[in-house]
Amino acid sequence: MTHLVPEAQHRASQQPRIGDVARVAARRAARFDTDTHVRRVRGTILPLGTWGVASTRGRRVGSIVTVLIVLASLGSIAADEQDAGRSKDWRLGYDQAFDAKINVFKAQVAASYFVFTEVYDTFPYNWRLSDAGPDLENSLVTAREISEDGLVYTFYLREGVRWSDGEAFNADDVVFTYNAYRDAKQNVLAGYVSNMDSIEKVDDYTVVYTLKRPDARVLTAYTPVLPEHVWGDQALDEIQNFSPCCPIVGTGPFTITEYDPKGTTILEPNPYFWGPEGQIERILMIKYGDKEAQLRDIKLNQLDAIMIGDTKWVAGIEDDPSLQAWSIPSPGFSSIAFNLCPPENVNPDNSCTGPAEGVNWQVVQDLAIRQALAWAIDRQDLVDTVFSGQATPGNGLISPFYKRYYTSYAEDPEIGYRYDPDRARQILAEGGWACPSDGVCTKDGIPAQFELLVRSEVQQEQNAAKRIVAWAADVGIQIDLSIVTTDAMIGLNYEQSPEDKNKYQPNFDAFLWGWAGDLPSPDFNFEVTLCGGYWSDTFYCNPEEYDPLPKAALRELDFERRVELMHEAERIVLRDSPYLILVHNAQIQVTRTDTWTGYAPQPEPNGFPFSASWLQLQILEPGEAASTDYAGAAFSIVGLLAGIVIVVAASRWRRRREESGPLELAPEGASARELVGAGDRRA
Amino acid sequence: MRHVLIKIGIALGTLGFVLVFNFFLFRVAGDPAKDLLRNPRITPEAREALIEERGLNEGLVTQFRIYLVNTLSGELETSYSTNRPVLTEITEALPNTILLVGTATLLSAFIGSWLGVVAASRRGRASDTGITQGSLILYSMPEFWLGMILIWLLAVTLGLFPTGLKVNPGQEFSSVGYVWNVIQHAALPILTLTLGLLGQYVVIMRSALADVLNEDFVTTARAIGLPNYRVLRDHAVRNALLPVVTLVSLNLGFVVSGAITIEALFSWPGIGQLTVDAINTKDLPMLQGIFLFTSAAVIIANLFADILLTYLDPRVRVS
Repeated sequence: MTHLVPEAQHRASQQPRIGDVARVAARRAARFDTDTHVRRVRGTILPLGTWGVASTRGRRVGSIVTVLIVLASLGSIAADEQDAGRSKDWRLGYDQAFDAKINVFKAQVAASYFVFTEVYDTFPYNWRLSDAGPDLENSLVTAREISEDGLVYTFYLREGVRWSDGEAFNADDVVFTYNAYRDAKQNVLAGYVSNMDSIEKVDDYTVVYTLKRPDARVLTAYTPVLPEHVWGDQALDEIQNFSPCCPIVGTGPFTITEYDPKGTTILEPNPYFWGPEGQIERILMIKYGDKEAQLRDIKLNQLDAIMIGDTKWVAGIEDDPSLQAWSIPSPGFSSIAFNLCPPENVNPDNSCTGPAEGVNWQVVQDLAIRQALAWAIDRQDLVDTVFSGQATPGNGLISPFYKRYYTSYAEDPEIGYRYDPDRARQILAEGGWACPSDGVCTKDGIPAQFELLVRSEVQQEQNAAKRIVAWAADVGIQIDLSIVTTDAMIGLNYEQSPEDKNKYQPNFDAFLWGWAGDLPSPDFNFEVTLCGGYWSDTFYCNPEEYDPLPKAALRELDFERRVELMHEAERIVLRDSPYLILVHNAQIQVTRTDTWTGYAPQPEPNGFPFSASWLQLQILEPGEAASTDYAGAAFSIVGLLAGIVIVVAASRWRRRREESGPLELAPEGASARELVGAGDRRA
Repeated sequence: MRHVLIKIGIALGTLGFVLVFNFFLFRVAGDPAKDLLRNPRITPEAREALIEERGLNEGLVTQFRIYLVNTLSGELETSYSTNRPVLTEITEALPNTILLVGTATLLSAFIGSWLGVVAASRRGRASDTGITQGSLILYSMPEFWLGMILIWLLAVTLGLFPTGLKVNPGQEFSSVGYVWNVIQHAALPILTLTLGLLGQYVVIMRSALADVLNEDFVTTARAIGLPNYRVLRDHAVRNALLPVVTLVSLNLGFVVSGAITIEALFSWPGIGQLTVDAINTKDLPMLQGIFLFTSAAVIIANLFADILLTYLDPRVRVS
């Protein structure tokens, strides 16, 4: 893989080469040297300082020559390698380091997941580009049968697939992988197999997957298939600490050939890959110390893509035709969450026993307050100002990222919360709150006032909160901001109950934060508002009306019915407003438009341009611009100049020392040399 | 000898304090178990298992005992994030940092004290003002800002240096080519750091030398007709070197802690970068390891400076 591709060779031959410059300099230096050969012959290897004063000049020339020759030869050796940049590299910048030895049981960061996307196939299906549904064409499963009750899946595997080390892939690998995912002591992907009963091999290319109860997530589960011949020896309680690298063996289009988590990690094509061939010859994953450096380098054409960019960049990038910023709605949202743990008659299923003392539950648990606030907030203004346009106004649990599931409630008369302060005032009045024209509403002597916790680490959330305070004050609700660390916020949220140490006594009125769900489906977003759910942070509890819906959606195999159930559940949550959903934040990826073309966002049109499915990089075509060489040509010249300056300066300094005479106490302005005169020079 | 033993005792005591303080410092900064709170892929059981594996479900006292036993037996635990031994991570990053910060420290010490000598021997002239003010301006600039200016000027606009990283990504090198490439990449961060660190040496050398130049023995040396360079080299500078030697040996202790902002700015894979990554991921064992390691280096450098001073300056011994 070390040869130059023809284009690169052609390019290299046309460019001025540092080697040439350095070689010319070396040749000149050599000529210079012949002029002084007499002296060199006389005393080539004499140690420093042994020559007489008379030969100072010769020594100086000699040392300059030596330095020049060393520099020139270094430069020319390096120069030949300098031009070795290749046009078929795809160079990706990232700044959050790889984690957990790139082990799927434990890794969580974007860099590791990018590698999984390129190295593994997921079972049963990879995700298709258009809408992130199961990709029936480019997956290890070629056909399936599902039993009537939705519990037994028979999958037919692609034949002739080989692992990147040449071993044959078959049903044993799938069976091993799923059993490991279920039984491993520690597995961040365990949620995908939580309903698994068993998986059996029928023959080499058929597996039967049986569930305990129906689960609509089976076909889009994110479960990379692992080679049994590599992972099979690992004990299941230690498998999360195994280092599969390198090369990581997978069935995907690439494999890691050089792993350098602090420098450049290189992925090269899997020679046994079964799917469509791509044009990328190497993926270079380049670790940066900071985001701005990546933006600078992609502008200099030293990168082709940036894994995670900054929303602040988008406006600037729009003016640059060589760059494209992809603004992808996150699969979650920023929201205000309220403390809905009731002071009495707590549902026994709920994970709290009642709010802590001092919580303004009379205010935040009043539906009129929450709904009034929902109408009082100008979400579009938040998007335009606080989020610099890089967010989507939100009022649903399902982000527009989930293209197959998303619906907008913006026009809904009841729950389509838009900026309408009059409507907010009306709701407060109907809810029994007496609001003076300028001041805080009251009800039964209690002022409409509560504390909002905001994270000190997230400036955007603080800015949003300040605007919300003003809008709330406008309709008669007083919000007191309290800026705390995320840790402190979570501590107040999950304060242990004195009555039951397995339950909480939430000690907050409301808090503002954001979180995101899982990529394949929004089921997790609904889990968070289940009564007594493990992830619940509002302690919202509506077991009769709400809880059955997400659970039914999870078991519903008819996709349209499943989405309907989710929307029904979503409407209930929006009506009850345990969360005031503010915006769906955006994530930014950046690509160059001229080095590689044909990016297909997943899902269309606002999804990830890469990193979601391996197919995305396989379909890229080389663009017109070749990747630039790195700086360095000029460096050799700088090195030469610096060398000359140092040598000259050193010898001048030495000579001056030899020349300078005794120091007189000189009158102001006269130098010692003037006083002593030229006659003393050779003293 | 007794003096030295006392110094060593104090150093060990400080190290012990750091060992204890280190543990509680990072616990106050945050509870890493809480960061696992909202990962949609993790099941509750998996989260509990991870917390258990990290020992975060234990009480603080038990955690402290485990930490103490591990550290004293030379085991710095495993990084939460990379899942590799902390000691391995540190020893891998160390050579990079030493190359960068070590070179810059030595260069700035030599160039800085040389400039200090020049400034002191030309007191009150334009070159003195230029050197002193110039190096102070550089010294008071935030390093990353100086670095950004240099990147913009020398790397982006003039193309003389690479903009960052340690080597050209994805290139295969011969060993000479590799070294040359690393030198190219290291040059700009070293230049930045050197310029940033110069000031302290210039100022210290200048003021120390200025004092010495007023001494009687210097006047004597001049009176007997010694050339200026010999007055400086043989009599004045030697006597002014003491504070510079102390400063250099103290700064050598900071070499291993890396230069966080410069390493981040130039994407240089040293200890500073390791620290930033560890902070971002609340990687407690890594942070503890790095802080213990760097504090130890500073303490040892201090001890070294103390002992060196005792050897060089008889007055310290007597007092």
